[in-house]
Amino acid sequence: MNILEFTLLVWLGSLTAGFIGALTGLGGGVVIVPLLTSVFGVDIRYAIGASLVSVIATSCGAASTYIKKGFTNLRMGMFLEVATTIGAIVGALIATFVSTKALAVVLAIVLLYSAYLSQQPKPENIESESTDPLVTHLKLSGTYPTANGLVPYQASSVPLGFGVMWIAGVISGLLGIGSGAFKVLAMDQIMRLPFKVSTTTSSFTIGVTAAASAGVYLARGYIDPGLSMPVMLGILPGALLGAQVLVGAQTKVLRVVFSFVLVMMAFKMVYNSLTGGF
Amino acid sequence: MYKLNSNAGWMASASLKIEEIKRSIERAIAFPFSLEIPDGDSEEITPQQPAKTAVQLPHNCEFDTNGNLEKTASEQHLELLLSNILKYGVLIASAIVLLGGILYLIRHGFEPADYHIFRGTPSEFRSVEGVINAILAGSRRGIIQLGLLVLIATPILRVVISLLAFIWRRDLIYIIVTSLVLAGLTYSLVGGYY
Repeated sequence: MNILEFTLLVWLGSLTAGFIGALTGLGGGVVIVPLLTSVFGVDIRYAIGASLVSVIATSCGAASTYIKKGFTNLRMGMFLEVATTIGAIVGALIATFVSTKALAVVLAIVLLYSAYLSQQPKPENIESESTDPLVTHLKLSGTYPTANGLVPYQASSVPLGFGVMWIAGVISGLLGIGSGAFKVLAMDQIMRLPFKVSTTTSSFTIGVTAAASAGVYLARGYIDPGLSMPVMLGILPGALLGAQVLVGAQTKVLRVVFSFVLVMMAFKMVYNSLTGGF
Repeated sequence: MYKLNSNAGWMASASLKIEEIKRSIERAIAFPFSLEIPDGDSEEITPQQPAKTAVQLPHNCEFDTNGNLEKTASEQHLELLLSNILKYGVLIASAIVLLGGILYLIRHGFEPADYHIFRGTPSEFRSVEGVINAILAGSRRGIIQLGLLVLIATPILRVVISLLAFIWRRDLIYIIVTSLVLAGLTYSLVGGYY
């Protein structure tokens, strides 16, 4: 396969991954790494590097729109970025000395977990009483627009949420994915933020988290221009298109199908790493 | 909003947008202590703002009349500024990557693709100086790599601007918070080589 054919195929794959990733809310990164390794036979380290830069692109593109719409909690995002940035550097440093087989197994576990998370119902939590003194101290409460005007909300369990964000940062740095699923988990389930605030603030923090591990990856030669180019130029428009379609789309069936694909990819990754593939 | 198809069209618009970013910086600086700013001010600013934000204003006005001034005018200017930095950072980076990618495929498109075995990218693609030298030496992959560097720099610039905004407002807690994030990013970009 020559570079032109390879680039076009990777671009198409990335476009699809970005589109589906945005529709299901899991992000393109978690799909693109297994796609590049199992389907295109790319070394997992190149795949991680390429995924990471495309994650920065989609995160920044999406965050730009969400900030303007008033969903993003900037203070919350910046505060949690402390956890995710430190986590990402730790993850990226670990990734440079563990074996690619270990990376593949960790990715498989994350894929299975993401598939599970995407099946969970997502109720909108609204809590008006502040339970955590940190919230008032750090000015973490906010408001977000709904059909009935602006609705105020509070955050709870900030230290635990901070801890989970650190783990999300480690996973992001380790695997070159945005790990949006874990970030949403921290904000939505633990800190009890409204779901829309969680997802939008999550995408706001993903760019900085990914940039933190990108420095380490760049220095180690993981970010290859020839591979990153079609991945980034595919995932970005795919994700933006997916975000446009998302409103009013029937995503339930899609979620089930997508989870199934994730589970299959997870098993293939483990199988490949055990049989000495890659 | 994201026109990725025509290169020339949006390079032209990019320079217009830089003006817009400049204006939002000026606005952010002009109203740092917005708690003192009366509600009427937000109306004065409206005509200068792009249509997208104008649509959001009813919410904000409603919010202000409730007597709840948490999301102040300067907070909104900061939001707009950060939003623009992210948007145009990504657009400029994509344009450079696309340009470099096309040039790269024209020259190397028919060579065999090999990413099966990890060798690591050549050392010139691993640092900012290396990439600039590679481009000056005529490397087309270097142009792609420059685009990727612009992309990585975009969220970092966002943190720097946030830090400056918090310093301006003397918001000590968030000066510390953003400094920590920036220290982490600096360590990653500088310390990664050692």
